[in-house]
Amino acid sequence: MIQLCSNDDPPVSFTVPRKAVELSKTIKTMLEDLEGFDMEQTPIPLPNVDAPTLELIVKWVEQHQDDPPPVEKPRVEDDDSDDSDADDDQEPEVVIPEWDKKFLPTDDEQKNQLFKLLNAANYLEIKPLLDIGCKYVADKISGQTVEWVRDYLNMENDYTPEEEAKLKEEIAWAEGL
Amino acid sequence: MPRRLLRRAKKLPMRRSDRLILLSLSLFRFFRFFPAADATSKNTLPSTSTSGPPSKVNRLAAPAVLADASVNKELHVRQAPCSSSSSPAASDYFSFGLLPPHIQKRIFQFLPLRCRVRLERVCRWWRRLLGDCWEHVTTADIPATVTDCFNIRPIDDNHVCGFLRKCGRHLRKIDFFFPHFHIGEHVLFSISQRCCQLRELRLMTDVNGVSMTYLLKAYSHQLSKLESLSISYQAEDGPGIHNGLRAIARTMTSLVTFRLDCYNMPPSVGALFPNSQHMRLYSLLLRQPPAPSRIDQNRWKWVTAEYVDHFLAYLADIYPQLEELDLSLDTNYQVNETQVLKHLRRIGSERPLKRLNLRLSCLFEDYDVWFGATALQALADWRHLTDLSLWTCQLPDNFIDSLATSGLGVRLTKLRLSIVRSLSHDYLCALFARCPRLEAFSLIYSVDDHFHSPRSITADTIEALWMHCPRLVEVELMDCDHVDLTIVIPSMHRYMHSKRSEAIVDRTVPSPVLELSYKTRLNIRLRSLTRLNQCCMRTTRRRDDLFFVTLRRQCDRP
Repeated sequence: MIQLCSNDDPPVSFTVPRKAVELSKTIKTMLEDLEGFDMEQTPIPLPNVDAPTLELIVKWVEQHQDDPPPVEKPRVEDDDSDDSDADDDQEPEVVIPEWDKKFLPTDDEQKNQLFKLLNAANYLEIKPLLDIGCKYVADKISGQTVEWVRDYLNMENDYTPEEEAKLKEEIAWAEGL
Repeated sequence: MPRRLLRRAKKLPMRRSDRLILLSLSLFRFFRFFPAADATSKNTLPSTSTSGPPSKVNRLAAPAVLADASVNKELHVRQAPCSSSSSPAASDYFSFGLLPPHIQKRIFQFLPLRCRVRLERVCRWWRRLLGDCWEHVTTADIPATVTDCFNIRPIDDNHVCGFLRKCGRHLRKIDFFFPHFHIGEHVLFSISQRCCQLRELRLMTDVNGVSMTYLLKAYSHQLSKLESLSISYQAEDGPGIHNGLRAIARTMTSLVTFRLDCYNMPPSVGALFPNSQHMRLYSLLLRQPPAPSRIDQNRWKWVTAEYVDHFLAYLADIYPQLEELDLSLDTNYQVNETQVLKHLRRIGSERPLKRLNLRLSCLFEDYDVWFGATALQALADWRHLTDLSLWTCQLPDNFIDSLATSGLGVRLTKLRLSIVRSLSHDYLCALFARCPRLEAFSLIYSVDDHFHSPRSITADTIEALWMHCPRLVEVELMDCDHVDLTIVIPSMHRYMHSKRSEAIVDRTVPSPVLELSYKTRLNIRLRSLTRLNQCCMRTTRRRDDLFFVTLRRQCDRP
């Protein structure tokens, strides 16, 4: 078992099976580098992850600890999405499993939490979690209006009205949902 | 500007407390994209045993403070916590804008392409990130790629030009079909303006000759850097594209590959040859329209014997680096074989020509003498030829002997004989015996009930092929009516799968698999073939009349 500590004051610590925690490439590499030390006794501080986020992470890795490691499979043709030869490794194929759908903090009030989770998944290099998170956000904003996306993601419109009008005209062909 | 600063700030090395140096050795790469625990947190990093963790307010506030200090009003992130006095709720704040750029990009990569274009309007930063997502698009088939990418049907030239605006500068290869002059003009303009890296262009169209000539004349200059140009011009009548071809011949001086496929040939042969010294592949397909009688005969310029003569004479003087040659000229005149022999000799002996695909006639059964009996003697002088494909011709009487004396037989790795006259079992057996290095062999007879395969060519003939050519990888038999597939399959297994051939596999055979495709008009049941399958053999049906047999040379289950 490995102990992970959040960055809160006081830190909150979680005990996680080593197998689960090794889904994080970052921690896996670190444990490998520190082979020989008794890591069961040394809590690992995670200075960029707060307690609620860490709790989510721990939940996720425990759920997925027995997943087979991802294999590099050849792209499957997907007739409605995009053209494969024009678009190699552009749109990775990710399907969000049922459990993960319920797991992700999807309420609009939990947006903060969702992005914190993404940030932490990046920090800990948990690629599958990062992928489903990114996919979820992409699904959420695709098909939405520009204004809605700005509002949802708190992005400031920094175009001048003239610029925006020009740009709008330039990409008019892509409009329409 | 603030964005750039902000990112740079994130890359600043963080200070680490001494007791965690060991850990940080492996941890340090985590911090690359993170606001480093700043100066105030130099006491200790959080751990269960020691003093307080760094203030998270400070850590979260770091980028915001920095941005604040520079140009506050251009801040991209709304409601970012601005100082340590922010409420606990604000310190919990984390938004999309605070994610590292590569994560933002990753999210964008899951978006449909059309959506990526639309969302460029969100802000400047997004526009830049989204623009980067196009750099992988280096080939495009217009319109298919555009409709697939954007899921828009039907598309018009504005969609195509919008697409080119996004990825034009990354494109290296474009296939472009245009149904109207205006679409052709708009898109070609866009291509010539935006696709600075374009190397290969293929144009397919059936617009009339005047329009096509206009387009070729207008854009050949701007596209003169192209290395590969293919034109497939499908219009059957009209004045043709003579002047357009002349413009290409004049300006396209970097071409390495040139392909032209059309119904109507220019009056002077010079227009058919782009003026490039680097030409490696030249392909010309001048076709007869499917039903010439329906078209005004007077306006139709047939390829005359003199035309063929001029054409080959011209070709013999240019393209010293030519390696591959495809010629298919439909003519309904008998060509002057002695002249053609002379030109072919020069073409083949003065160039490093490796591949020849030749069809110099039209199909008239009543001709006593087919093209080739004299002219094809020239092949003996083609010192580099390894890949030979001949259509509708007659082989010279001494062809078999010259295969041996000229060394051509030993060099050949690919041979295709399509509707070649007076072949027989004995002839082919002698031919196989002189081409021991063949890797691909095709024997093709006509589909439409003309030119039947001779009776003497049977499964025994193909058995001779297995016997003499152990390196075979691909065999294609089309409408060889008397070759019985139920006999060919076992013999293929017997010869190609024996101990003898396995010994050769190790050293020289280019592929562990031998593939046989067999097209026939006869009605064969697949089951009668699959019954014959043995260990490492598989027979499938591609279409009603097309069978496919694959044989692994080495057995999985010996």
